[in-house]
Amino acid sequence: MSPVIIAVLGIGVLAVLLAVAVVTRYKVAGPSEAFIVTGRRGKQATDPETGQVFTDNSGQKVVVGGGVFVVPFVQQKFSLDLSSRHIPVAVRGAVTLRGVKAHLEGVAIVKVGGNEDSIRAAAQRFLRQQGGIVGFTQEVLSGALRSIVGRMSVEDIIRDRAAFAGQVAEEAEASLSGQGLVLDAFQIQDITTEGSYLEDLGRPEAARAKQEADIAEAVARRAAEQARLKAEEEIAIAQRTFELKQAEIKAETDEAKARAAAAGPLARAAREQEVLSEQEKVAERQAALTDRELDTQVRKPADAARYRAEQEAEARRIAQVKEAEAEADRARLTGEGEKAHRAALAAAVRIEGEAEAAAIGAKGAAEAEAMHKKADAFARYGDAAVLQMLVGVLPEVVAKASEPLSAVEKMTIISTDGAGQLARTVADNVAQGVELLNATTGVDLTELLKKLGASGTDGKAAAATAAVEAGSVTVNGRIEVTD
Amino acid sequence: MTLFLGLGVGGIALLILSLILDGALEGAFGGVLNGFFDGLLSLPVIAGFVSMLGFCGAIVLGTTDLGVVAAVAAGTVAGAVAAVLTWRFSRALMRSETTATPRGDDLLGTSGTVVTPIPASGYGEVLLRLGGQPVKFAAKSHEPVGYGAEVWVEATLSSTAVSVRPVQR
Repeated sequence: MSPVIIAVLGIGVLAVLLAVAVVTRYKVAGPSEAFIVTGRRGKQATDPETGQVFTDNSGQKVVVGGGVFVVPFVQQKFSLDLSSRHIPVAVRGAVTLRGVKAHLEGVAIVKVGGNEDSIRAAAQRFLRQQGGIVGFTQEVLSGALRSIVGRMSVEDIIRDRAAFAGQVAEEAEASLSGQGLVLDAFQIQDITTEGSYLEDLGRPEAARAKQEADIAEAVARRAAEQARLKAEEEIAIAQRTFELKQAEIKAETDEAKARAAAAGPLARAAREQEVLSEQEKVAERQAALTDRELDTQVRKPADAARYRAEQEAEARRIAQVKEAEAEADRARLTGEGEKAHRAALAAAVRIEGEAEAAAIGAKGAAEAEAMHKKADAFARYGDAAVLQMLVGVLPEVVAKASEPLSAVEKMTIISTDGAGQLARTVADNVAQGVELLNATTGVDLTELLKKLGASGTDGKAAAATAAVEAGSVTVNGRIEVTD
Repeated sequence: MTLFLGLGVGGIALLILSLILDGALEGAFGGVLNGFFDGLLSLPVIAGFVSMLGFCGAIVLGTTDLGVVAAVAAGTVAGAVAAVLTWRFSRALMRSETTATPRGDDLLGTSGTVVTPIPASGYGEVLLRLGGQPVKFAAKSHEPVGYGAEVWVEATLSSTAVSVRPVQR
């Protein structure tokens, strides 16, 4: 590289470095910062009052919020923080003006004063120990607060801010201003007392406030309740009105609906009625038509038929009447002829009957005479004749009784009595035959026979009876015979 | 040639050292001279002079055929110019200081308002304007002054307290 170029570059670098070297000597203080630049010699000055010559401290520069050129080595720059410091202050058991012990907590805002005198004073005291400002001030202010409280009553501390501020300013003047510190604000945060002094202080007021609050609350509640009730009443009234309206509207609508609903059926009914009336007319017409049709088809022919039948019946009746008349005439004429004929016939029969009756009478009289004579003859025969007649009959009876036995071809008689039984059987048959006769004819043969043995004197009546009974055997019938 | 460049680089090195050590070199170097010329012979000025002399001499020697003497002469002139410029810049900065810090005496005659009533005896508080900023001072008065009243400062009792009297118009 050419030495010339190096030299040119060097000149450039030199210019920059020179500017930097000069500018770095210029120091700028921030707004919350104070520079104290020392090193220069102060100017000679003469005190105008005493005439004393002294060197003032103008060589010691104080710069707040600006720039200052610090000559290297000769001068020195120190900075002091001007910002506020928050310092809590607490005092316990401070005795107030009236002897009440109070505990106080407060807070102080302290800073280094902004003017030159304050900064010089503070710089002398705190430059190397700026952190000590808080502790130092705290102790000073605690003492100050204690002495302030001692000069004031509790009530004044609480209420009289101006008096408290005045006391604080006085204390600050005495203790802080000489050190370049400014008390920006000092406030009591909390104050309590031993015992219940503060509470008692507030109790009447609290009671009054409570009373007022209660009254106000009661009044408010009354008003609220009244308003609420009124509102509810109005709501109820409105509700009632609304419901009435609603009901009215509902009634109207229902009515309209009913009308509307009825309109349909009514119209339908009307239409149906019309239809029915029309149908009725049709039916009437139809009936009339049918009537006429029937009239023409049925009645007329029927009438015609009836008329014909009537005419025929009439004709027939007349014919029959005529015929009956003719018949009657004929019958009458015939009857008359018959009557005459019957009369003649009856006369003839009567005459014939009379003749026959006379003949029968005569014959009867003759027979009766014969019978009478016969009866006399029987009465004279008596029972002997009857018995003879009976005996003539008996062989026949026995023959008939033994007829079953004759049908027997071989007869083995098994009996303990031996063969004697056979004869007894025949006798039984005869007895049975007699019984049979008795049962069948009513003729008690046994009795009759007994009677035969016994009678002799009374034979006449018994013979007559036997004759009659014998007659009944032969003649099937009873003939009453009277003398 | 090498000598000139050496002078230049040496001056720059000196400046860098002074920046790094921040004043220590000045103490060892120009402390004695400082008193006489009021910063004229401060370290940046000397370093600038030497360095500029070296570099300018090197340029002249390298670009022209005038010889070493001419180069030294040119370098000395350029170095003097650089030194004077640096010095004047320093002086300008030294003099361009901000307004003076407010003093307690400045308050005399200013007006303010009372923020805490001033009792007959004892302190109240007034708000004054000092150097364009509001500052609260403890205040005393011969007579009680109520809240919000306008007052004049008639004396400064301390750096934080003033004596006031109400404004009478």
